[in-house]
Amino acid sequence: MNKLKKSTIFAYIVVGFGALIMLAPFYFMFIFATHSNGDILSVPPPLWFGSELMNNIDYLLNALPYFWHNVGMSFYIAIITTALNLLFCSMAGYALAMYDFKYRNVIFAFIMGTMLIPPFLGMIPTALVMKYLGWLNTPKALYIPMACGAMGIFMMKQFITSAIPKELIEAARMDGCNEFSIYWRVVVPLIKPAFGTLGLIVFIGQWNNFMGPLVVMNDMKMFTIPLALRSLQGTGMTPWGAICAGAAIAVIPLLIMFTLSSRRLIDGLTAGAVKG
Amino acid sequence: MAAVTFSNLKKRFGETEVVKSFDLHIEDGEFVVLLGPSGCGKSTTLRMLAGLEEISDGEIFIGEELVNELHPMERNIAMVFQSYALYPHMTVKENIAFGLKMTKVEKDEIERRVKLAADMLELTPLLDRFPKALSGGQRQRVAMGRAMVRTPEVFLFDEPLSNLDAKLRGSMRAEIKSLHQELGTTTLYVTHDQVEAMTLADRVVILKDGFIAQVGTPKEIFEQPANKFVATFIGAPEMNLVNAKLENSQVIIGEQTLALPTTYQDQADCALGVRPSDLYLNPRAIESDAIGKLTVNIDGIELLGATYHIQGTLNGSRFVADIATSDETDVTQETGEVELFFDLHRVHLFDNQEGNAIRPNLN
Ligand SMILES: Nc1ncnc2c1ncn2[C@@H]1O[C@H](COP(=O)(O)OP(=O)(O)O)[C@@H](O)[C@H]1O
Ligand SMILES: [Mg+2]
Repeated sequence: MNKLKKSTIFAYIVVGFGALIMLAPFYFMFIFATHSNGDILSVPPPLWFGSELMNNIDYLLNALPYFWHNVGMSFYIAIITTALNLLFCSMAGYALAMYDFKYRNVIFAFIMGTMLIPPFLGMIPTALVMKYLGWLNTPKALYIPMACGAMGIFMMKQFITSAIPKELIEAARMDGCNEFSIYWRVVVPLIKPAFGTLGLIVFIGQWNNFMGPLVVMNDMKMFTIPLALRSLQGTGMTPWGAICAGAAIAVIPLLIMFTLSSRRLIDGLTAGAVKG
Repeated sequence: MAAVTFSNLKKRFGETEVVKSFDLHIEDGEFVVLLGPSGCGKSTTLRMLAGLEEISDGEIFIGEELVNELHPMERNIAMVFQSYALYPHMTVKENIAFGLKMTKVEKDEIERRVKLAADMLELTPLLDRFPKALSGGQRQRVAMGRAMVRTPEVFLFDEPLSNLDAKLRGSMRAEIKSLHQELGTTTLYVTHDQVEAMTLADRVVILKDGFIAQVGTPKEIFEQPANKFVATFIGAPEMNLVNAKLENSQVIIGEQTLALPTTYQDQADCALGVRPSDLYLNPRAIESDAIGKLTVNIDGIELLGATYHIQGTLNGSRFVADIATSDETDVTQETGEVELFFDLHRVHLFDNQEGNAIRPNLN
């Protein structure tokens, strides 16, 4: 009994310490958002909320006249990317899981192989392609290249394989479904949990995407939030308070989404592992 | 409703041929059971008829129509799967109605047919439940309801009862039987369970390694097995087969001789088959003009309530007798020899090369 208690306490300490390290940057982001640059750079730095939030936001909106437009861009691009990923990854995953066709395994291995390529390697070629297409400074330069990814396909394939028996697909076929209505009426309703998980992952990834917009967006109006905030840095003194205020605003949607769906995200990530 | 004809049907998976020249005509309204051990190609044959598996060679007709290239839906067939394959995200009602909805049947008509099927299968109180809230037997009935409402030309069943416990299996079997009597739809039913086959079928098709071993009514298959495979596959405990010789219409087993009531061609290497249930200790229990007798070495005796098994050896082969406990004569010894009597009209003879039944000479 006593022993068990000790180990529990130890576990709490370890996990608590980890959580502290993870949360510290977030905490300071919110604290610094309410302080002036002078306060932030003083030693020791401020540990509690100050009174400069409004000034920082004013500065932010002055320095970034398109800030709200940038927020809108971030939302627009992240939402479209998410929708496209859910559609294409689930279709590809379904095809790879349920259809027998020539070279299926080769194709799947090839898709998985793309995960080995560092994303930075594709950055410049992607930017060039976008340039040729005349898509620079348009949202589609961000959501089309990211419309479908190996990770998403893999996740969907695994989920469909484990959650949908082949006989169910055949029953639907006998019930008069064509191939699309099998996907739409039988497969999609049954893989909603995977949609939740993949959607969240893709949304967060695109919301935080910095390198992507960096190479295809050079009009300030078309910047996404990470790029817009980054543009405050560089010439002369960096306005840390304003950057933190902007970052705090950028993080809020993610925090809301995560609180609403953390259960599902965690369930989804472990679904394959403990599937009964 | 329609007749179904298979003509020289074949199925290959890569190099391996799993269905080899399958020929069968199923009459309109007939209940045919495909019976065979696991892996003999029953499901594959059924799935080719359903349109779920491509046909490697040969033809399938439903009615007059060649269906080889038709989509499953166009074949107007309904299938009950082994796992039931109910849509987990739909209620019982939606499950049953789904096929009708997909084929654009009108709403009122869907309501009417679902209600009819639900009444018939006693599913009415369950219509709003989801499949996971149903018992195995109820799921089975939903699967049958889903097949029924579409009023198909042909019903297909692939081992529909194998996921149920023994007691439920018996009652579902009766339900399937009465459903067929009521609807009269042509039915092809796959199972590896001979009791299901014998009780349900108008005709049984016995498959072995992709070949048809025999087609016949349950009675024919039991009483006149066409070969050793069918003889031993049907009936439990399985038929005794003893190596023998046929000479002048006499069966010679080692030192013992049986004079057969009908004439046979001589055969140097054949097998005599006797069902354990055809054996008696007391010859007076048999009503026949030709009674045979064999002396068998006893290896052991098991009492099984209404009957007891005498396990023995004859001419090097296992020889089992299934004796009714009411038989006046009793065997008390556990070893030694015993005389077993049987009706000579009920013995079977097979040649040992091909395993085919040897029929008596007609003239
Ligand atoms: N998709 C497939 N690919 C390769 N072999 C298969 C496939 N489906 C079935 N088989 C093989 O065909 C044979 C017959 O299978 P099946 O018709 O399912 O047998 P049954 O239903 O009589 O148990 C089996 O040996 C099985 O392994
Ligand atoms: Mg099978």
